[in-house]
Formats: sequence, structure tokens, C-alpha cells
Amino acid sequence: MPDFPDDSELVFQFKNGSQKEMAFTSIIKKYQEKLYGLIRRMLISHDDTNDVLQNVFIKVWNNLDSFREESQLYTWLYKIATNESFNFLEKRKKNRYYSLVDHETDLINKIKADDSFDGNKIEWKLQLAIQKLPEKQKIVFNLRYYEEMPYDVMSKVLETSAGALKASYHHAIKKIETFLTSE
Amino acid sequence: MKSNADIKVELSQISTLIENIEVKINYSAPTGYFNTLPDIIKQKIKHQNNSIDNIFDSTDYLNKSELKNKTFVAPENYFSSLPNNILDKVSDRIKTKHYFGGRLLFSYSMAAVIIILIGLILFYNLPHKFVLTNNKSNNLVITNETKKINLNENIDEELDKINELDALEYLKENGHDINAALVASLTENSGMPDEVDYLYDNETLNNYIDKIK
Repeated sequence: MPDFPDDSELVFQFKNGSQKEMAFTSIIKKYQEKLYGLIRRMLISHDDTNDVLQNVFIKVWNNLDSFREESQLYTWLYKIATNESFNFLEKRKKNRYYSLVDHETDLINKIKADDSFDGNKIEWKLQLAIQKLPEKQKIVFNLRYYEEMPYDVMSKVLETSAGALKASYHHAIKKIETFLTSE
Repeated sequence: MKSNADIKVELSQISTLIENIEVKINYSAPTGYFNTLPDIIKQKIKHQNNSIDNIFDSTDYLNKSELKNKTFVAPENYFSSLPNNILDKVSDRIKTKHYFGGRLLFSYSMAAVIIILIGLILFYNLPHKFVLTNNKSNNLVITNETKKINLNENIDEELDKINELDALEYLKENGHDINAALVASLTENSGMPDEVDYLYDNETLNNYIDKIK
């Protein structure tokens, strides 16, 4: 991965009109894969992930001028990405067509449709088990297990206390374990 | 981001099963996706901005206002026919108001007639003790007698039926000069006023007596 300027430098360049577009391109390139992975774990489908990811960066373009630098850029980006993913899922659940199909079943079917899916492998069973979790527990598990995000950062992203996040992560793991052992 | 050592320890304390899963699935994006994504996003943003710029970027103030006005277009000939349409509506409203005004007056008239009818019916049907506010027995007698007269439409017949003493008592109570009337009734002089006249002017008899003295 190429070296990018640090976040505060990118924000400064963005707010300085002449380098705005260049700074924005750097922000996209720096965070696109991380945010893609985060959103994709929530939505499973690439097309849905693509829509949400593009919306995330458009929001960044529209709002970065008013971004307050006391919070870190990547925390802010993760916050937008999780909010956009939740909003997308909520809209999907309210959609007339998708409300007929069980949301959980829909995501499981999408996982099984993946070219590399192997139902006998524990890592794929884990993917199926994660879909049984409530949305909030799912995002907590993903941020901790896959992104290895510290609780204090996660607390800023999800606007939830670190204690509540620890408890949520604990419950999520226990539910997944129960699912895996019952299979 | 912090070292993941704490995260691994935490996971091992909660579930060794999950801790021992060695492979972490990473969903892959289509080939070349991340190379093209920045340009796609920037194009979207430019398109979004252009759609706004196309409307408001003109430096000519008149053009701007024309564009703004063109946002909502009135139907053809709308403004030429508007004054007449408004006048038509106004005259319709005036007509409506007159109609309602006449109707209102008619309603009040009908209500007044109904109230008068109800009053008359009550007057002729309620017991007279409720009709008379003066609680004198004479008034009651007179009212009853009046009612009879009205029913028979013959005043002479009804007057004959009145007890003479009652009549005298009634006249005395109402301030008529009974004695003068009696004197006049006994006098056989056609030049004198009728006795009835005295009942209405108690000084006439005195004047007459003074005259013949």
C-alpha cells in the first residue's frame, strides 16, 4: 500500500481549497479497502456495499469542511460507514419485496452464493453464525474480531460506553459458540 | 491502532473455540474495483455539483431570475384570464351572501311567528293563575269573565250575568264614583249625560249639580 500523508495533514489539505480534490482522492485510497471490508461484513453483497461505500465518501466530501479535528478522521469515517450501513439495512427491511424474505435468510443465502464458500470449514460456519446476531452485536463483533478495534475507539464510533461494548462482545461470542457447537 | 495482544487474550478467556479459528474470511471485491472507485466517486460528486451549477452559475441576474421562474410554469393564458376569473368568483360570493342573508331573515321571521303562536296557545290554555301576575281575586273574576265573553262573542249576555254587587265592588276599587252614577241613573232628564258617562268622569256630576243649583 502506498504511503499517504497522516490524517491531520489530509484534512488540512482538504480544507485548503487548492488541494481539496487531491486530498480527497488520498482519503479515498487510504480508507476504501478498510471501509469496504467493514461494510461488506454487514451487507454481504458487493453491490450493496458499493452503493453504501460511495455514499460514505460523498458524505465525506460534503461534510469534511465542517469536520472538527479534535476527533480522528478514521474514527469519523468508521462512524459514517456504520451509520450508513445501519440505515441501508433499515431501509432494506422496510422494502416491500425484502420484507417478504427473512433478512437473515437473505444474508445467509448470499454467503452461500460466494464462490469460495465451503460449508464444512469452520471459518465459513462462523460467517453463518454471525448472521444470527442482532445488528448492533454484529457490528461490535466485526469491529473487535476482524478490525481489532480498541473499545475506547469503538465507543466513539458507535457512541456507546466501553463497558456496554465489552458486554455486547461477550454475548456475541457466546451466541456464536452456541451456534457452532450445535451444528 | 493498538496491539491486538489484549484482544486475543480477551477472546481466549471467552471462547477457545473461536480463538482457535485460524482463517479470517475477507470478502473480496471484483478485480480493479479499488483502482476505479476514487474516480467514480469524484464523477458522482461533480455530477451532483454540476446539476446545481447549471441552474445557478449564470452571471446574468436576469437569466437567473428567468431560470428560477421557469421552475414552475403557469398554463398558457393563465394570467390573461386570471382577473376575470377572480371577478367571477367575487360576484358569485356576493350572490351567495345575499341568498344566505335573505334566508336568514326568513328564518328569523318564521321563528317570531312560531313564538307568537306558542304564546297565544299558552295564553288560552294555561290556568289563569299563571297568566295573572296580580294576585287579586277581582282580576281573576274579570279574566274568567273576559274569557267567557270571548268564547260566546256576546258582551251584553255576559254583562247581564255579572252580579251587581260584584260589579259595584269592582268599580269602587278602581276609583269610579259609584254614588254619582247611581244618582244619574235615577234622574229622568234626557239633557243629562248617561250614567255610564259618569263612570268615566266622576267630576261631571258635581259640575252638573253646581250648574242646576
